[in-house]
Amino acid sequence: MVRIIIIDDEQDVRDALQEVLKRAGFEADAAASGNEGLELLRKSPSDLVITDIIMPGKDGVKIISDIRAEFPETRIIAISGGGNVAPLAYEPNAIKTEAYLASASVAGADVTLTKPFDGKELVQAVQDLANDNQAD
Amino acid sequence: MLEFSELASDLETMRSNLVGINERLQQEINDHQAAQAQRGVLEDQLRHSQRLESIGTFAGGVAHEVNNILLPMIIFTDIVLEDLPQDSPVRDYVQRIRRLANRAQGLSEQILTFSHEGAERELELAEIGPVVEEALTLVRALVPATIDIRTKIDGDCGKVMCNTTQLQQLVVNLCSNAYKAVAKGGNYIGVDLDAFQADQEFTSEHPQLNPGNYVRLSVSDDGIGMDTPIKERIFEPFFTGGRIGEGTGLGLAVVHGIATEHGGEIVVDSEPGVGSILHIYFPVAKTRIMS
Repeated sequence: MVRIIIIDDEQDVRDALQEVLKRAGFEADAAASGNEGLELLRKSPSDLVITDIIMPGKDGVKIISDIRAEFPETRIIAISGGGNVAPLAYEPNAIKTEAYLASASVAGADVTLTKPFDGKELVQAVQDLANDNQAD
Repeated sequence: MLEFSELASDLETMRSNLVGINERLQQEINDHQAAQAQRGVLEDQLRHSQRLESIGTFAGGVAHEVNNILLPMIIFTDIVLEDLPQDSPVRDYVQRIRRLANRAQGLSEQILTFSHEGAERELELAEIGPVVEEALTLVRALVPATIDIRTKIDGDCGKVMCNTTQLQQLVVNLCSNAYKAVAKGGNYIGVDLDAFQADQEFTSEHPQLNPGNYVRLSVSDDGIGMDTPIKERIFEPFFTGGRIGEGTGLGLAVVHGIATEHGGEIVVDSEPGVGSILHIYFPVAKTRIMS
């Protein structure tokens, strides 16, 4: 069974993603921060990590490069919400999500998704990566 | 006598010198006034762009937060619909929630288009004429037959780097805006597309444009028109000029976002009771100039 770890600081997002992935037949665990997610990954290595980009503490781009360094086989999906990102959302020099998602790709994310997406899109992206893994 | 003649000659020389000095001074004053007027136009333009930019940044931030809320809302609603019996009496309500979430997602996408932060779109080298023609078929279906739609499309006005889907949306939004003005007193909507060469004289009046070749899209109407305070705010999101029940107020904000993403500049001319004309100047792609 494909094992997935979801990293997002919003509980509602974690719960929604976890539920939709479990229903699709995947084993999904969740963490509220990058460090928590890395700990979880060390305890039980996973096939795939779905991580938000902007979170308090360690941001998604750093998490992705850390995962790439420590778990090179793990596939990564980076997700974010469009527009300028918190905590600088309303400031003139706020960094655009587009730029963060591009950085996430450079850091090693296999797929990037912009919120909101529906369950089908997510499951499809996960299945495609799982199929790639099997082909490898 | 000789002395008197010399004095007269000196006076004449002094008079003509003074006339020359006066003319030069007058010229300097005129130049100064023209420079000040141009500076005033540029300052207004800068204030306007800064205002739109800060509104865009704010709106983009709000859209980001809304998208974070919409994600679980959409997924949970789909899960409820999946589990709910087909004959459940509340099924219709849940479907409505899902449709409303879609609507909110659409609004959020429009806001992100205005603030230039929507999904990255590929631009291709294309003739705008066919794109405008295609958009006009949709406009004709949306606007009542009583409104005359006059078009004049120059098929050889040059190619621009563009996203055809976005350009069609821009034309539809501009025409929809013109229709709202015409519906309150007017007869026609005009859509013109032509090649335009901006010279020094034109760019000194419109300093946001550089001299060069443009494809000019103009949408005009003989509707109610706008006064200056309204004209200055029409590209702000959710600005409806105080008119209630006329959509979201995002149409022209989206037009501004799309035009800017295409390197285009908008020039608005309008008079209350007479009508409006919005010109969008798209820079002609350099390949054309080189060829």
